[in-house]
Amino acid sequence: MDWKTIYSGFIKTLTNLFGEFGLARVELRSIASKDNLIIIRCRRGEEHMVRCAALMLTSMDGQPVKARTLRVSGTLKSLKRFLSRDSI
Amino acid sequence: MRRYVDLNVEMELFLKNPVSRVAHEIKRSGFHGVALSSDPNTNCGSLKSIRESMREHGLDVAFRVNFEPRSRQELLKFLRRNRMRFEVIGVKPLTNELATVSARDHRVDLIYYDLSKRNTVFRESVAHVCVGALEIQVRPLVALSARGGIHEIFARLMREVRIAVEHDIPIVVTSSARELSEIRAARDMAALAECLGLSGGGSLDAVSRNPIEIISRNRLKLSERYIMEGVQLLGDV
Repeated sequence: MDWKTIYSGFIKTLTNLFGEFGLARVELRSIASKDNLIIIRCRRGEEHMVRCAALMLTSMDGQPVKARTLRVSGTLKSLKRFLSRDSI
Repeated sequence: MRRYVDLNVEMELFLKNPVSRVAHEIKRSGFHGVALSSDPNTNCGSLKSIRESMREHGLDVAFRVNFEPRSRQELLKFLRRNRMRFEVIGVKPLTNELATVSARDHRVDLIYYDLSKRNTVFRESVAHVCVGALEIQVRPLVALSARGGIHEIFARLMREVRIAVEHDIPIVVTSSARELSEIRAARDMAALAECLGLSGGGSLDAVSRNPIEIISRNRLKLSERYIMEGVQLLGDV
């Protein structure tokens, strides 16, 4: 699944859950992706909303999916290091 | 370090999938243990073998039973028969009167509600006498969200969480997973609790400290060392 599909799935779920104002508050941005992994940036303090969206995400492009938050970090460097690990 | 426990995983999960696969998925989601919900008439041997297999993968398993009583007598009879057999008992009351009876009974660990029914909700009158915990299940919530109108359910859950917090009632968030895809990450479930109004620490407690306390308390009561509240045998039994 390409990153655009994953990202738009998150946008749609966040909008359904928290509305346009909620989506604006989160300031969601897609940063990087690898296979079915995606790094999403959000506003500090609003990570729980993005995590909740991951929990409630059930389908993308008509396909059933399950999203799981692997890690939350303040730096892109640590997340990219985490993504490059084989154990994921 | 916090240890996370999913206090409601259905037996169906183990019937449809090999134990190793279920254990792998649960560990990947960040959990250290689960409570396995089964029918009261389930063979104890099969439950114990699941527990042993899960322990080999480093996961603890507690046994849970859920009940939907239709009357007060039915509930009390069920509790009398099953309290000493299961480590966790969850009750889904169908009326507000049954909710009050369940909440007041020390043998009931968790109360959870049918989110599609609007007339039976967690109220102040129930919270006032509640000695157990309030459970929020993720699977029915996700299923209902697919139909739309989830804002009403979220509003209701936020009210119930606020009432529970005001009355110091522990809140537990569980997956109630029946399929592998329904097992959710522990901290994502905590995030749901935070969105519903719990503090950051309280939301993490809903998937860690609160479920662990319920299991520990009941394991102590079910052990041979337990005599009565506050009294237990020490040394070799």
